[in-house]
Amino acid sequence: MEYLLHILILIGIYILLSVSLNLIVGYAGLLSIAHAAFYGVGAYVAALLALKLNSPFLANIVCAILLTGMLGVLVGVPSLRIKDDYFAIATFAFQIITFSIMNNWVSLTNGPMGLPGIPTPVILGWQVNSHTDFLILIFLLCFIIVSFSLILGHSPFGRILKSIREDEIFTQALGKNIAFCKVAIFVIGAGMASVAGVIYAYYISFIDPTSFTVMESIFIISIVIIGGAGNIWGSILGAAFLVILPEALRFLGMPSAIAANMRQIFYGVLLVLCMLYCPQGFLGEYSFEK
Amino acid sequence: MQFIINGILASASFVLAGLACAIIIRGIGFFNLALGAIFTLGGYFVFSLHVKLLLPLWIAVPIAISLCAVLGMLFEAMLFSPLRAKQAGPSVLLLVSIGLYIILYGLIELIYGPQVEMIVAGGPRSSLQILGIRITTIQLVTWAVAIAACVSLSCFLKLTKGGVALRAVATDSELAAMSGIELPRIRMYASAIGCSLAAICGFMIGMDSDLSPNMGMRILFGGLVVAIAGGVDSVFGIVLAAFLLGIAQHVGVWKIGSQWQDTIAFAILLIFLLFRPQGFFGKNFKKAIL
Repeated sequence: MEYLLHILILIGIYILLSVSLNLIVGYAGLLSIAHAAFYGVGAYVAALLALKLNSPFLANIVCAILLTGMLGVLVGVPSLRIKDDYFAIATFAFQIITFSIMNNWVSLTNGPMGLPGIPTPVILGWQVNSHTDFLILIFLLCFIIVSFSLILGHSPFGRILKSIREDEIFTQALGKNIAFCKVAIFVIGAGMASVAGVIYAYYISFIDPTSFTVMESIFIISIVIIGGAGNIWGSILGAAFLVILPEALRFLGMPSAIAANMRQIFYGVLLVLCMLYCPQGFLGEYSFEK
Repeated sequence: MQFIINGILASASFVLAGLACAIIIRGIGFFNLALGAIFTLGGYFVFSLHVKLLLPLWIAVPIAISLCAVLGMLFEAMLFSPLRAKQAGPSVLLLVSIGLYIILYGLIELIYGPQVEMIVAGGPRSSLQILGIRITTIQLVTWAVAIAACVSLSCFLKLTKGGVALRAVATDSELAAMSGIELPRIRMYASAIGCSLAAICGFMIGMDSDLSPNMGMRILFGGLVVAIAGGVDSVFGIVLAAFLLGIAQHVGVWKIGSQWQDTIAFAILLIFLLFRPQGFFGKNFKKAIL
């Protein structure tokens, strides 16, 4: 039972991550390989605040969103000057730098040893400590963020994002401020990803840099692409699918030494096949055409 | 002083990696991250042939290089060109190459195991003392190979028909196609050359230190930094960028510690992408309009 709840909580965390990345990748058409960096910064900010200042959960989540949002500006601004795969490489560089700071700035982040003993959150007197409590909390957050994303997607702002994706110069010619929109969506997406990071830190109660590697970014992007870029429901379906499927592989009784590698190969094959035969994913409406 | 000399000595492998990346980026028109796995495979193929099958190096190395070249051409023919035929943009190709890297990395780790392997058995490396500076034989050989690669590549690009066609495709693939250059064939050439260079580079680095399944990603990082900073179409620029990276990393090791090497490399990459995406001597191009 605990195992089942754990899987559901993981799905919840990946829904937060993939929905927020979908706003950047699927709506604005900016391929970003830096989402695990935002996820990690959110987790570290909350963990450090909780451990060093013993500050309450709600304050930490707000701080994490604000700080990560500012970091989002840093990644959003390059998108104004460089395009396509060049931009993807720039976000890739940002991801590596963030990881190596988490890993090497030992006096702040405790490096590869990680930060253990993050206390259980208390929200307005509600002590969140069992799996069921966490599931309720993550369900509430998913509900808020998914509804916010759906509203955003259908708002005028969401329509400008989609038109940037389809034709940037044309959108600019219509007098839309594309620079502001691109940076804004990065700030929003980064802030949402940090929420997932905060929950992850509190739920596992231990964080170390290995949870926020390039591979994690690639995993999140696979969810978005396979679920379908440009469709929020696609990301939810993709998160459930990609979290559950490797768990199913576990029941095939593979020795754990090769299980991790088989899982990776499996994701890789899935990503390649998806791009070859079904570039729009399950429910998507955008496939990075020329 | 020793740090600067060491930096220059270490930059030979950056030159090779940078040339491989530059040929791939310009020739096939996107960042092929699967090249990371080709670097690793170059080393591991030699390991299999030389250490396991006991073939002499002068047979093992050419076989390994041609295997990598064939692999590169296979990817081009079976994955990338069908995708281009479906109007896939560079972002899709980048994603597919990431999937491919994950698959190859998983396979390498499954077959060879995660442990470190040596091509030449351990023990002190032979070294020379020139003007009080210590140089290992491998470093000298790597430099000789790098210089040979630079010279032959420059000759190929400037003097042969195929090389001129490759440069034309790199500058503007549509215009090149219209003037009668067969794009698919040129892309095959570029893949073969890029992957052979990558194999040589992986092998040289494997000789200098050791082999591990994730070595390719780090070599690729260096290669990307050098290729972009050098301006992907100038051999001289690439050599200059390799010096810059080599010296910056070694001075960095001396000043702030060896764990920050990746950070330094990627900070250089980000600075170039933001302020001079065309590199030292490059001209403006479509994906980075300033």
